[in-house]
Amino acid sequence: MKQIRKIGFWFLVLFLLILICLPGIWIFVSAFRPNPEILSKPANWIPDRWTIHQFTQMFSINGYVSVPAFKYLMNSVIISSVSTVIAITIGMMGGYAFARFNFRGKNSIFLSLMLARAVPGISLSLPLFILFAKLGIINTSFGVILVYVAMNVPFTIWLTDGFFRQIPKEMSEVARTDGCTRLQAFWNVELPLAGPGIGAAAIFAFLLSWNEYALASIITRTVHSKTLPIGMMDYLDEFTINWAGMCAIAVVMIVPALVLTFIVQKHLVSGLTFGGVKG
Amino acid sequence: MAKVELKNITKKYGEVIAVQNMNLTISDNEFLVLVGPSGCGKSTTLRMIAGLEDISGGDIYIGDQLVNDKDPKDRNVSMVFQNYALYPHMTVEENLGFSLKIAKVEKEEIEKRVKDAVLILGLDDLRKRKPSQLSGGQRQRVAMGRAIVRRPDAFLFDEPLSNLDAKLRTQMRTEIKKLHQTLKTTIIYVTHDQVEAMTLADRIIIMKDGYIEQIGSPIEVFTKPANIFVATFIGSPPMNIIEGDLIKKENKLIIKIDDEINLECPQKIQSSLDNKNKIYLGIRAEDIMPKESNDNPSNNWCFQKSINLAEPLGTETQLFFTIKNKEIISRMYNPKDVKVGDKIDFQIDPNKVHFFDAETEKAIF
Amino acid sequence: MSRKFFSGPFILILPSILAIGFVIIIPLIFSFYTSFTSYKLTRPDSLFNFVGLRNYERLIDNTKFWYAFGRTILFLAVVLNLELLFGLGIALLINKITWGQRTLRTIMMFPMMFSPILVGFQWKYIFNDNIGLLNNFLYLFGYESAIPWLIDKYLAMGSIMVAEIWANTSIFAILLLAGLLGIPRDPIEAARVDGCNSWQVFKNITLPFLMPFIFIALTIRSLDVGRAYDIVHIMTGGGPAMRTELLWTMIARIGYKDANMGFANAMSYVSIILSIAFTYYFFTKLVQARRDLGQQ
Repeated sequence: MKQIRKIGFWFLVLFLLILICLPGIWIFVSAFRPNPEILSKPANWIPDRWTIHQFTQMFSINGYVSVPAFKYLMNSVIISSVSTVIAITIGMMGGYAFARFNFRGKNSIFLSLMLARAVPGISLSLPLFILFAKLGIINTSFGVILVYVAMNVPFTIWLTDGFFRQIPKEMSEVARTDGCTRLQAFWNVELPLAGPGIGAAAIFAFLLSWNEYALASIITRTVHSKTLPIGMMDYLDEFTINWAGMCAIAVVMIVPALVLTFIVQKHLVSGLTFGGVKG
Repeated sequence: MAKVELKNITKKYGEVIAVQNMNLTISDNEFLVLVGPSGCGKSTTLRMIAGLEDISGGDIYIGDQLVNDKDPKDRNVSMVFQNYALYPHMTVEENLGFSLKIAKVEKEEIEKRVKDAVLILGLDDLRKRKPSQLSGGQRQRVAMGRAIVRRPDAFLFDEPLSNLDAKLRTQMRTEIKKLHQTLKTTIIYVTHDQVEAMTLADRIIIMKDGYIEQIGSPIEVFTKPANIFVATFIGSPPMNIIEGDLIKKENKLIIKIDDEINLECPQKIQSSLDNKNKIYLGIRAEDIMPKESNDNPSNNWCFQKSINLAEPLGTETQLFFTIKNKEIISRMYNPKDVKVGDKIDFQIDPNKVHFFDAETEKAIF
Repeated sequence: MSRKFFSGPFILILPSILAIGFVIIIPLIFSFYTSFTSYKLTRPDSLFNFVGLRNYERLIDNTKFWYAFGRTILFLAVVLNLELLFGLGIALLINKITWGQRTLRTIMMFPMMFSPILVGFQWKYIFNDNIGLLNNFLYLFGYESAIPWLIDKYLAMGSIMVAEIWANTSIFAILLLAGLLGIPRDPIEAARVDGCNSWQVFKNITLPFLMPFIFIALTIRSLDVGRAYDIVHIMTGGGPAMRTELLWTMIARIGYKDANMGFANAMSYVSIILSIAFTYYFFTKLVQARRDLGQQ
């Protein structure tokens, strides 16, 4: 009886793993095979012929470009990195304020910031589109960065607030009686201690920008500012879909995300569960 | 090294008053202990001196300088926290030298001073360790070392020993006392443990609800408590407090405790008892003793009670009995077997009894 | 006091408030205004054509909108509940594993990091009636007639829900697992000694301890419910015959395809209030759950 339960248990775990991993594996495999093979029946898990055709074409290594994926990739990298750095700097200041100071309306300000984050991208995209068009920052990296900073700030505050709270208040106090200004205490003591957590928050912000679609699809128009998720739609014609090409660009998107996830996972969970609400 | 002065210090959190109109002068090289139950305002006072809390009213002077609006860093005081607050990402050496590095002291000087501190505290083997690799006592020493290195005008200790186990606490207590003698500096020390206060202090301040209840040397506060609160707070077991009615009888003033116990009021306090009909007696457990054969027979402060509980501790046995439903503790210094229910003759030394006004709870001398 | 006011926390929060103010609050005020006009992108002068509550009246009369609204609520209710349930199940499962737990936890996080657009695309691929993995798989078992997962009016919604659940269950699983790992042993052992069986232990000890974590997960999740737009947009675009039209896809269609900004903005407001209501509700529950457990 115990044996059966144990086997059942591991079978369940295995099933789970397959469910989680299989779609990703299929995409990965399909990115490296010729297009016709994808359409074969029954499904062919191990390609007969591996090819990097989609990638060479995407990055225009043989001169012919159907989708300027390299440009999209660069846009994505720049927009995500810059917006992350700004969002983390701003958000960290806010998180520190919430963790270390008591002030009037603290909880309501915190809640308002979170609620601002809850506004769905698509609902925001219409007025943003008009506003940005009027200001002339539509279809610019600057515009997208600005949006992503605002989108990421609330969550960064939530996370960093949690990380700073985990550092005893006395750390900063003892540093201050040791002769530090508040800023020096922050820089020399609290920041290094919260470092891993802030790194996790940064990666989380990066991924959010990296993956965002609804807003970018409206405020980016051309190769000039389109990011990878938007660029992916280039493979979607009115009537046909270039599955292999899409799989290839998907791989380009997923791999950095997975690597970053791997680095971030431990601190992310602790930050999420610790931060948030308090008296 | 400097004196610290508090003038009319008040601290409010919204409507709640944490410290009320506190006046205090701590002289150079003094070891001052602030003691009281939790929430009495002792830590708040310390943190105001450090500059970690704003003051709501009054002035604080360190040396002769007004420091009300100075940042903690400019007050030249060092603080040792209850949980040590060592910088976990720095080694022992780096922890010790941090404040000097911030102050941009020259490297050789830092090394010299760190070395001195390490030697004083016996941390030589641990210089390269991180706080997580240290035991509680070692962390405590590093925390003190960090304060020493800075050569501050005053050391502030905020319950530094309460995270240690009993044995280590006693040991560190001695070390702190020695340290004070070596360094000859002003120390302000906060604790809730009256034994710590008694053993360490030159002067003790007992606080309650934001007010100072009494200031005095350890012996003073023990032998002459200013009120019932101090009397019961200092000393272990706590002083017995017994209520008595004052009755005039044949020109004598009698304190009637219950039907069986009637004591004659000593002459010296009678004058302060005019028009009063109630009084509190404070008697330490060691001053209620079982009567022995060779005791002074003229002492008429005697009574008999049956024992509820006897706790033999070796050198003494503590006897518990009740007077007017209140539990009273007596110390028997020549232990013999006592069983529950045994009737025992007790005597009280009238000269060692403390008298407190029934309304104000203040001592009557 | 004024010295403290300016050097204090407000300076630190100010940049955050400015960023959010510029990107979120100002556009929202603008769109609130346009929701009272007949603004069309193609006719800029219509921005000043004030029509009062007409857009909202049209909204109330519009049956398609109410269908989309109801569908959105239903979609969120089903999806959030199932995600919570599956997440709890997975967390309990992984909590039992002693060997390789961390690896498993990491693998579990992967779907969380997929761009919703990618999730949509991936499941569009899987559910494709012609070349899809699922039909291909069924084909192996001799099920030869292709099932039109995304074309059938009933199956399409279910398919989208599957994709959404696949993408977001891991948030619940990971946070709940963190909660499980943090539960002190003593109360559980005490309950065992007191004669509780496994189910009673779970109901009376484990679950109350997990409540704050459940609400943390729900709060975080509710911040992002709008991202379902990406998935639906890719998988069906609201079709077939608007059977999978949610509020968000409807906003996009009316705002951009029909260029009817005023009307779309009125609809946006409904979706914003919906999102905020969800978040606010879960957030207050979270505060309450923490208070119940005696945490601050």
